[in-house]
Amino acid sequence: MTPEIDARTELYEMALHAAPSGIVVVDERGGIRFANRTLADMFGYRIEELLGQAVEILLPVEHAATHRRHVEDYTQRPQPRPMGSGRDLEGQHRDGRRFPVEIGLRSAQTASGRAVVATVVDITRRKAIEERLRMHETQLEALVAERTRELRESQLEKERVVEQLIQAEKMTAVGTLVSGIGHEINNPLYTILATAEALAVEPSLAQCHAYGLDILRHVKDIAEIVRNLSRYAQPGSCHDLQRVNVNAAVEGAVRLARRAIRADAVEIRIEAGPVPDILAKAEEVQQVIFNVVRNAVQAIAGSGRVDVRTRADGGWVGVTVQDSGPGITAENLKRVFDPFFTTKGPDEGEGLGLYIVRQIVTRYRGTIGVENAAGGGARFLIRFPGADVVNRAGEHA
Amino acid sequence: MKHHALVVDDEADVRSAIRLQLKGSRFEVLEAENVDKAIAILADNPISIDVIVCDVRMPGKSGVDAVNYFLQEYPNTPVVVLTGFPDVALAVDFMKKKNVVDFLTKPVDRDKLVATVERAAQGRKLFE
Repeated sequence: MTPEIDARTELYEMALHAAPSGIVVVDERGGIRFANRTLADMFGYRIEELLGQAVEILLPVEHAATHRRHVEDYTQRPQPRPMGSGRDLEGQHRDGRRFPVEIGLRSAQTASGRAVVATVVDITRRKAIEERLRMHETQLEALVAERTRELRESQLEKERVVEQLIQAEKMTAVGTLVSGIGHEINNPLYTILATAEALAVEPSLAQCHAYGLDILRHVKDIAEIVRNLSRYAQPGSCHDLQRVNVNAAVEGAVRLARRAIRADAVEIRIEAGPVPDILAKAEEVQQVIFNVVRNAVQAIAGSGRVDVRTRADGGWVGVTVQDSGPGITAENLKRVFDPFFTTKGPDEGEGLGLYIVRQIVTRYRGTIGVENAAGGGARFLIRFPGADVVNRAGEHA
Repeated sequence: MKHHALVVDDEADVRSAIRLQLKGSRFEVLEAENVDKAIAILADNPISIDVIVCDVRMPGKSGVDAVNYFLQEYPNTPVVVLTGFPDVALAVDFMKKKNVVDFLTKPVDRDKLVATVERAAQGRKLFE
């Protein structure tokens, strides 16, 4: 060998020893022909101790046989193979400790036969990091699953509570209604009582007859009120929709509102236009108007006015309820139909009134909106499709 | 000698009922369908009204407004509150007013109404 070649060999060896991966060259019989320093350090040997040894010295003993088969296979069909592809490989340190490795193989024909160059990387740290990552991932997935379950449960719980509160609000509304109706019944009842008292001592037959007719009229009034009341008590099914005159519903609702709401200082006016009938349950339409009117009255501090107008609008019925209150702030305009949204005091309800209103209106394929009127005050616009509009839509469906 | 009861109620049927029950008593009935009308009647007859029978819920000024006004302007005229809306808290509030002598709920029978109005009117004499 020339000094020039010696120098180059030294240079190559230096470079090989400095490589961050372990490098080992194995001959056809499996003997180690070359090992760099990194590999020797990795396995706890000195380089001279490795040279000439069977390569299985670097493997756990139970892998040795398999490894020999692999080597034979590889020698038959030598193809460059990326490191560690497809298998978890282990190396064995001189002290018996095992550690995970990645191995790249490349076969080469040398003057003294075929040789395989193996590049070995100790992947203990990477494996540990991967393992930690996997653990974190598993924990994270478990956490996400747990949170999802909790969220779903709390959502269900929330829906349950909302449903209960809606029921409670309905009961409160029924309570208000009942005391209003009590008032309506007590007045004719009083008239009947006074008339019957007079009748009992009246000598003139003609006057008795007149008293009798009076009593009859008031008894009929009461019967009508009770009939209306029992309609509230029966939930009814969705199928028994009837043709409802919205003007009559407005009149009923406003009559109740005048009686049932502490609003002696608020004047409620009705301006009824000719409107088509709608398909609905009369008591629900009345409840919608009642709730919106109640809301309007409550919005007014001190004295004021609420105007309820009805008009026909291309086969639809529009009901506007406008109050002389302070109006609604831009921020609150978006929220008035949200459940539990209220600007009122704690004694004035849960803030479900308008939410229930929107639910009912939507069920009848109507719309409800609110804006501030030019002259101040809030204006609610409720629109119901007329019975003919609904029937036509039904035919097309 | 005829005495005068001023009946304040927005419902004509109720006013008629009171008139019927007081018929035959020593009270003559003057009717007002709202508080403003009652105020006008009182202004025209400052002395001759012996007792006021007043409803609570009425459009416009309520019975509460009315009782406060009567207390200020005619503190010696007794008031009987007659409501179709029985409410304990409301009754207590009314009874705290010096001029309110009783709180009745509709329907009330003739004997009770007459007795209450009589007692109220006699109380007026005690005030004087």
